[in-house]
Amino acid sequence: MRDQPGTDPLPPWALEGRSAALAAFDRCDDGSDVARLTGEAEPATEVLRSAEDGADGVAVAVLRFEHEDLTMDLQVHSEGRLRALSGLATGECEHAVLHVRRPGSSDRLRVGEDGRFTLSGLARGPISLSLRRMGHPTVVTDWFTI
Amino acid sequence: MDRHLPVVNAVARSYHLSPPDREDAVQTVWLTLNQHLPRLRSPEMLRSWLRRVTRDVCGRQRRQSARLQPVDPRSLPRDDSLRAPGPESAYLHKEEHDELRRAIRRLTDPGERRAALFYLDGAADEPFDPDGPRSADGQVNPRTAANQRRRMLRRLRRLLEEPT
Repeated sequence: MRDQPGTDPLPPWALEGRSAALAAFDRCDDGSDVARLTGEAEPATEVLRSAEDGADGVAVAVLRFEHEDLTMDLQVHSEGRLRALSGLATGECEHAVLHVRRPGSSDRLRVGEDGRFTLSGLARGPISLSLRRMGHPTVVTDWFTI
Repeated sequence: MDRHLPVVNAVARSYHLSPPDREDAVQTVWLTLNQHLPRLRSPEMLRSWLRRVTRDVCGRQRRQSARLQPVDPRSLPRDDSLRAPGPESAYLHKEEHDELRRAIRRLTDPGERRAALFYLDGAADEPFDPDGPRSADGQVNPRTAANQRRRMLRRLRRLLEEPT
């Protein structure tokens, strides 16, 4: 923001994160439908049996995204300094491919026939999932932070 | 974006998140704006929209961080739900209760049956006075009641020890 004559200069923190903010603008998924966050619950405090040594496996968030017939339930787990996601996509999800969107990168994985998927070893930060299904437009979830 | 960056940063700072958490939250706000840009119809509402989204994202971030914050267990309020019996001990307790109930059903004296059921469940199918027999003037004879209880327990113990 430019300083106006006669106004107080902005504090140094006011423009923090400008380059990260600029990097966020990308028009690749403009044609996709958006699955909105419709549910958020406090997960029960539990330690995953699959938690490896040094990982605490505590569930930190339970989120639900919905768009028309598609529902995606996600559980975010802590794996020490990293995060893991387990999810269930319900709706028509045969041969669906999931793209994991992170700022500046994207990974893909196939959703199981029962609609389940898991992601582990995720660095903390913003994330969004994009689901591509046969005969349906791509659906992207709202961005959320893990 | 330059016009609104100070507002987003100011709202995010008010949540007192750690610097990395705050940076993640602020970036999530801009990523959300990017995603919703084609659908935003009223540019004059953008400032309030950004404030709302920033509050939502930072609030969620703070809740998640709070779940992983180490705390002194002694500072936690006593949670009685943690002391509740687990499923295994609850199952064993039910088994024990059922076995006792089966033994009570085998008692021959109806009065003893009612008394035993009263002690087991806190209420019997039929009204029962747990203080035992009373004399004509309505006073409880404690010795009689204690003797009856002792006999009843002896018979019950025998029934429980019998092979089924």
